[in-house]
Amino acid sequence: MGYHEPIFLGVFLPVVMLLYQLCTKKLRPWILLLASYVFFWSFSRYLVCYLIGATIVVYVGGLLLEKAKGNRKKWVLGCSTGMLIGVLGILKYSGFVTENVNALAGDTLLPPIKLMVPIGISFYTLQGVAYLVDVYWEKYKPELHFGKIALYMGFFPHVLEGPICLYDNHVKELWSGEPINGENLKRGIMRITWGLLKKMIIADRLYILVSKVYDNYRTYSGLVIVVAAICYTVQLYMEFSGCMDIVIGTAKIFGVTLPENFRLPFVSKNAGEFWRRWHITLGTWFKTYIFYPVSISKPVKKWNKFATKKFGKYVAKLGVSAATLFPVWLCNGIWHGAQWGYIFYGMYYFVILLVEAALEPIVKKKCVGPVWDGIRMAKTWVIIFTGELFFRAERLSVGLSMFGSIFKGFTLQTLWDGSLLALGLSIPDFLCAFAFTILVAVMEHKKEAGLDYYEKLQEYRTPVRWGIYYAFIFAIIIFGAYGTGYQKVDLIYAQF
Amino acid sequence: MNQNLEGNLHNEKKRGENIRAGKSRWHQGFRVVCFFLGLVLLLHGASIVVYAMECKNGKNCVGRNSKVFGIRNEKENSIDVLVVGDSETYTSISPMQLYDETGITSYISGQYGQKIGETKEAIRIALETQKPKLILLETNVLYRSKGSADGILSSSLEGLQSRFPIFQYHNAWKNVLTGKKSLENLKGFEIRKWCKAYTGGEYMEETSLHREIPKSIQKQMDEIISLCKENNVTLVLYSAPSPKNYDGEKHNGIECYANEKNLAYVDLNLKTSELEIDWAKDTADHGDHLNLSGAQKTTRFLGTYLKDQFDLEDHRGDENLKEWDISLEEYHKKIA
Repeated sequence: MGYHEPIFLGVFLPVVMLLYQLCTKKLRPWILLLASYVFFWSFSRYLVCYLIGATIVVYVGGLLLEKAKGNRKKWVLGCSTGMLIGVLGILKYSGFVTENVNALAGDTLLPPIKLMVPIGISFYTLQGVAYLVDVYWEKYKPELHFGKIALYMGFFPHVLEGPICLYDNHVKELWSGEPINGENLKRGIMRITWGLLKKMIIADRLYILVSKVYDNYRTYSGLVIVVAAICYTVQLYMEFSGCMDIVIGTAKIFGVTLPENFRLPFVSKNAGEFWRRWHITLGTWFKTYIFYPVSISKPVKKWNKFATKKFGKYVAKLGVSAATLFPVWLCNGIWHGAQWGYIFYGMYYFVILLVEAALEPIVKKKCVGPVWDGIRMAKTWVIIFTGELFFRAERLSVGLSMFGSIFKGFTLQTLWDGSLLALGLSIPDFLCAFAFTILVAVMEHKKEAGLDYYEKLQEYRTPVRWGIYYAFIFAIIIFGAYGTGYQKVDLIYAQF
Repeated sequence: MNQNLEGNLHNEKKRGENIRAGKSRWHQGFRVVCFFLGLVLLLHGASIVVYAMECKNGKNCVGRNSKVFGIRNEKENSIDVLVVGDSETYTSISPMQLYDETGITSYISGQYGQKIGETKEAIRIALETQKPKLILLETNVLYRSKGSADGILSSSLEGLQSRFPIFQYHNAWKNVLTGKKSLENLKGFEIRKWCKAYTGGEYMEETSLHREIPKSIQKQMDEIISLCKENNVTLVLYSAPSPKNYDGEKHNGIECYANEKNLAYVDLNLKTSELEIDWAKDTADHGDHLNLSGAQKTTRFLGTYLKDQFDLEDHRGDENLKEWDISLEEYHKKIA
């Protein structure tokens, strides 16, 4: 029951909305909690126990943290977060560890492990850790109401793919039990429709080309690999951000405002800016709970003092950047999955961000003006596309092989000699994906510039407004890559 | 006194607000109903346009539905055997070879990933212009549903598709854009000359277990059986050789169902040695579908089976079906 599937949008969501609206204000949050567990159950069945277990750890951990003092407080935090991360580690990474230990030993030292992983574990674990650390930092008091913690951890719109929410920003709306009102309903449905358009018309269409090239990567080389990497980047953005639109729209219907996860990532002028615009809530989590604690840790402070005296500010800053960015990007890579390819992906960005930090003084002085902005944006695109080439590859060796094959038989003729039309997409498919990508880019730029589409539409008379609604609905029906001729495409980020 | 008056005024005001809120709620509800009515009307209108574009003239029909609607290009009442099902159909039976060897006229109304609702629709469309004596239904469609909930959902979506064909034929815009015409007439057959061997070994091991056909599909099958009875057509189930799609449990499930419904059932997966299927040479995609040589072997076997079991006419030399001989020449050139 993915967010984009008819069973979710046509059955599950309307039933939850109906029950929610019919119940009293006090009961409504419980309806959301029940719906969340049903939703989780539909994917993971009995593995819902892990979610309930994590919720209990977070709840009890929060209460114990308030009572504990001094070292005991640290101990409570260590135990509770350790339990959450430990479960995630065992379920997600034990197979990877045993596989590599055995490969190193050249023998089966450890029995191969393959455990069932509950869907969304990487997301709700981070939320749980964030809550515990915030209580430890005394940012807010621990929650006494178990239901509130349970809904924060398992709220069905964000449990599968995020966005990763912070408790204090989230819980008030989540447990308010306010009835569904016309404005929230319309805003929510508009956002869901927008997300469906991105996922069904662009992402699911490009999936055909991407999977064909990646599944048969040995057959292709040169520009075809470049096109596949670009298409995958667009597919991933349209899919993930489209899913976020559906998720944010769904939550909005119930009066809950979830944080945005994307803000025009492709206008970024460097990789650092890209990561402040792409998967924002994950970046914020790493920044708050890894980057800052490391940067104010004693060894880093000592290094800063020592290096500033000995080598000057520039080297000291670079050293601090390396020390803080390394754990962030190692964790980012590992968080995405138990594969060397993801670790490589994290390290790839670590190196790039370090180089950017090293070049920052020169870039700030010399590379200014619109021409330089364009060049820097194009450079960032190359960085992004290369990163996603490795991100999508099944294994690191596949990514390296594909990257190497770009330089074999690279010719611009590929663009017009018909090679691209042998990748599963016809000319109308390419045109359709391109036209809607432009539409998405234009509309999201306007939104970023402050245009509220809902408010704007209210200015029009009903026939015009309805005409626009119908146009979007029919665009999805007519141009959507769905039906038996197309493969059902699962949500990419749900697997993380 | 004043207080009472103020109280009354307040109550009146509140009542007025409630009435207005009630009216506004009705008004909102009415608007929602109007919006959805408009949507339904537009869906209906778009469906009519798309259906006309994609389906009325089979010649213009390319892509997944080309075979289903292509039957409209066949001479009326010229087809004796109609084959329905998913991609296993048009990779396992060659109507031109069948005609060449037995004189039986057949046509494949297959679609890749055909679902049982679409099978019913394909039969209905064929019956508009043809009076086949026999329908061969490839059984892979009988398991194209995961569970009961999925089955119900799938049936509902199929119902929606048949009510609003825009959902099914939404890709018609591509044909308009490219102006493509229908491919050559192989009566639905697709020639796949390449080979990707199957190396998985024996796949039809004997078992006492049987995989039941999902209830939602059985319900649709009942409708197909009734449709065949109404039109006096014999329905025969057959399973094309395919290690990827068949096993002992499925065979038992289909056999059990066929016995229950008193339908003839031929499982060619049990006859691969009789057919002389060589999985190193006769499959196009590692045992999912047969290639040309595999289809030739299957067609030869089925030709004999159909001739022996059913009273089907030999149309070779029939003056009214001269175009079959022309198509046959083309076919021979293509497979050479």
